[in-house]
Formats: sequence, C-alpha cells, structure tokens
Amino acid sequence: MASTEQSSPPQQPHQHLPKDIIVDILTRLPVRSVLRFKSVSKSWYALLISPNFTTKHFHTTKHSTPHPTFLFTTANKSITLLSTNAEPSLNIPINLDIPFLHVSKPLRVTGSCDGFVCLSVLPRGSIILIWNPATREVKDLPVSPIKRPQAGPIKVVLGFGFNFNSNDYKVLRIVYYGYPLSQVEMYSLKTNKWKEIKTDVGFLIFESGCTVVLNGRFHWTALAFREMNGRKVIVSFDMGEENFLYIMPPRFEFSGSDDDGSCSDDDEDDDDAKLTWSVVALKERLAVIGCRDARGQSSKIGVWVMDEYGVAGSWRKYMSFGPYERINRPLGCGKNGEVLLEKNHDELVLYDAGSHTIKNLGTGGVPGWSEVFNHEESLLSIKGGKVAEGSSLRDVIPDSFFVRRSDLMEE
Amino acid sequence: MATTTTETKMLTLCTSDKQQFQIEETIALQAVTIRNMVEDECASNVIPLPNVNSKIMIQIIEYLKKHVDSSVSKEDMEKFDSAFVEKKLSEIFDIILAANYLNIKNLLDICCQRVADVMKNKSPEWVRRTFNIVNDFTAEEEAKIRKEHEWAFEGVDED
Repeated sequence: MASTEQSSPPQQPHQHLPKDIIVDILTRLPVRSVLRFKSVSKSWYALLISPNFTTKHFHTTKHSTPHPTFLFTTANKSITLLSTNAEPSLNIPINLDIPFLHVSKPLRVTGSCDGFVCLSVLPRGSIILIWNPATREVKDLPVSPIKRPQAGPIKVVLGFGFNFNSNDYKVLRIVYYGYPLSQVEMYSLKTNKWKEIKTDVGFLIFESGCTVVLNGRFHWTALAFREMNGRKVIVSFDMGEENFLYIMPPRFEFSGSDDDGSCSDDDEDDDDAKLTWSVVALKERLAVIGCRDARGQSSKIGVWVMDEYGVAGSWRKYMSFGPYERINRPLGCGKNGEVLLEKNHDELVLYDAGSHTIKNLGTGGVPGWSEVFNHEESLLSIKGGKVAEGSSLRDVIPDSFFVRRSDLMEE
Repeated sequence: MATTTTETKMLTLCTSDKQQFQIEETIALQAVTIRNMVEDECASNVIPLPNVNSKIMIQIIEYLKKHVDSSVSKEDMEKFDSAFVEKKLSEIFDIILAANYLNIKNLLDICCQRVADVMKNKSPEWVRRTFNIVNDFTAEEEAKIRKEHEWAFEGVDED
C-alpha cells in the first residue's frame, strides 16, 4: 500500500512534533511495534514503559483493533499469536527459566485476559503463572493453604478472568478427586490469596482452561450427573456470586432456516453421535458452534447465540454454513463473529459471516491438547509481578500436592 | 450545515507567507482556535495564522470543506479521510502541526493514525531518522533491549 515515497523519511529536517503528539501516535501502535521502538532512545524507552503510557495504550488499542487475535500453545514451548488480518502470525517463546521446568512437562496456556496469559503445567496445575509476554513480567501464584484430602487429584480445571465488580483478576481452580470428591478455590491477584469456595460439583468439565469469559462468568462444557443424567451441558461460574449454574445448549437443527438451497431430508438431526459442539463467545454473547458430520467427509457448521443471557428459550440460530470437506473441529469465534475452524488436523480456516467466505489462514493446525483463546495484547503491568530474567525465577516452585511422577517427563 | 437565505458570512485567513484565504465562516469555525478567536472578537476581518503556510492551508481547507458537508455519508467520509492522508510523511507532519495549532481534533486523529500505520512495521533506525532522534544507547545497552523482545523484530520492513 504505502509507496516507497511515502515510507521514506522526510528529506529535510522538519519541525519536531510536540511530545503529546508523539505519545498520541505511539499509543496507536500494536504492542510488538512498541516493544521494538523501546530501543530507539533512552527517552523513548522511559516513555514506553511508564504506567501512564501503557494504560493509555491499552485503552486506545483495545477499541481500535478491528481484527481478532487468537492464542494457543504450540508444541515447541511457545505460544502462537494468530492474526486474522494481513499481519503475520507470531511465535513467542515461553522464555521462563524455572528450575522445575527442567524436569517437568512444559507450560500451557489456560487463560488470556487483557494481555495477561495464564500458564500452567497440565493436567494438574502444579505451577500456575500469570505472564505478560510483552512486558516479560510474570507472577507465580502462591501455594493454596486449603486442606487436601488423602486422595490424589485426577484432573484440574482452571479459569482466568477479570471481575469488574471487585476490579480484580481471578483464577478459579476446580480439583477433581475420585467422584464425587472435589474442591473449588479462587485466587485474587489483588490480595494474592486463595480462598476456598464450598460448593457442590456435580459435573465433569471437559476443558482444562477457560476460553469463554463473559459477564464476569467462566463457561465450559461438561457432563452433568445426577438429575441431569449425564447430559452434555454448559456450566458457568460467576466470579462475584461464586456459584455454578447449568445452561442448557440449544436444539441443534442444521436444516430448516438454512438458506443454502439444499433439500436433503435431514433425518439425522437428532443423531448426537455425529454432532460435536463447543461453547464460545460471539460479540459479547454466549454462543455455541455445532459441527455435524454430513455424508462422507464433509460437515455442516451451525452457530447459535443466546440472546438473553441464561434464558434457554432465547437460543437463536445465528448462521449455518457448509458442508465443508474435512473440517475436524470448531475452535472459536473472533470478535466480529468470524468462526475459526480446523481442517484436516493441520490447517486453520476462518469463516467470515459478512462475506460468507472461508479463508485459509496459511498456518498449521493447533495441537489437539491446546485450547484456543481470544487474545488482546497489552503492555499492562501485573501486580506483584517480576521481570523474568536471570535468576528471578529460581524461587518459583511447584505445589508438591499437584506434582505427579508422570509430569516429570519431557513430552 | 445548509446555507441560509441570509448572506453567507465569510472569514479571511492570513497564512505565514501572507497569503489570504476567503472561506465561509461555518467551514472555518470547525477549527476550535479560529472559533475562539471569532467568539472572543480578537479577530477583525482578517485572522492571522502565523503557524500555517499556504501550502498546508489549502489542504486543511479541502478537509474542512468536506467535513462541513452533512450530506456526505459516513462511508464516503471515511473514504475521503483515508485518501486524504495518502501523503508523504513530511507533509503529514506539517498538517499535524497545523491541525494541532488550529485545534481540529478529527484531522489530528486521522493524521496520527496514518503515522502509526506507516511506522508500525519499521525498524528503530527508520524511526530515529524520521523523527530526528539521536540514539543515546551504547551498543551493549541496545543489544540487550533488542534481545528482550527478539520476536518483535520479526517481519520488519526493509528500510
């Protein structure tokens, strides 16, 4: 776009722009440009790391970045920031030299919020960190004082998000022992403390992290027991009320309001075996993406949104498309309603609802064990965080209750 | 704003190189600095703008004329704006200085955004040349800072 003439510096020295104008320009830059320009000069360095600048930058870019960025863990001890516009995708190494990690499985992303990434050694979360790859700040969560049962943990589910009411970042941890024994606790970044939440957990969550944080609530998919009879439902946890709620998924009908003109007699609609669905956030609303195998190797994809939060009767079919060949799983939604899908296990494609087109993002697939998060980069500082360099991470030690022998092996 | 049946009120702007521009008052008043001068009655017939030269004034008048026209759709206005900022950076810098002095917020916004868009994939060296900044880091200091964020240097445009 920019011709060489436009890109070249002005030929003659010109008047200096006033400092507030320079600041205005710099707050509009993507995070990676700001990081690069820290090496311009000492005064720019001081400006670009000042809290005034980073806060202003966060508020400016949050509302002006039109394209979603997805985040997932890559096999190679790094995270991938997947841009959906013309920007190239980026691999950021998880450069955290924690002694325990020399002998343990690597860290994985379990949450993302305001540029902060929640990292953990899965499946048990022996180490939980909040990390901002842009500032290289990291905060390790303290060991919880909660009294543990004799039984060893089987599975740990984490949620990381921001609670507007208390103006605080929270990490929720659900620890499953043998059914029905479980423990729920929540960490507050503000107080740097864990607190036990006495509640009944009658469901088994599929995910390890939480990709859908809406209205101060975490959302996962789960199998619900007892009166729910093993149904697959959506489970939410409210960070303020500190309770779990079930949300029934919509009725998955792929035909009917379809406008693709096909007149196949869809007698397979209720065949759950051929249906996979996941919970997503779409334009600040709760939504699900359903993927149903059609004949052969193609699948039809449908998106349903919940117009009125928590009201099962307000599920509405938002769109459907396909059939597309070799789609193996839906991964998430971008902020403009784009749908990210994985094809052939090794390609990522994006469906644009506006233009009804599907575009190959020209990048490999997501490791099967990684969830895909919406990510907004920021330069914000983590309360109590320290810059990860030199020996600063030597005292990050795992919670020994969650360490098991099989974690102590390289993948 | 539609022209009224009464005679259109005109203002004369005088630039640093002593050129005079006669424009409709409604157009000129979008610049807060001019509006304040008119409201405070500091200005008689001719408003002196010693910080703006005629070359830049012509472009600013072009911008103000478009933006006073309420019949232009939002989409067309965006098209106009993005075409308007397709200029050399040195010219954008001059317009920024003028828009800052005249206090025309949306013009300042689109020009600052333009600079950000042009510079976002550039190298620190390009930034120093463009903004006349002296590198006061030692080679070791600079290398250390760059190493902290090596990934941010991927995909940088050639200078």
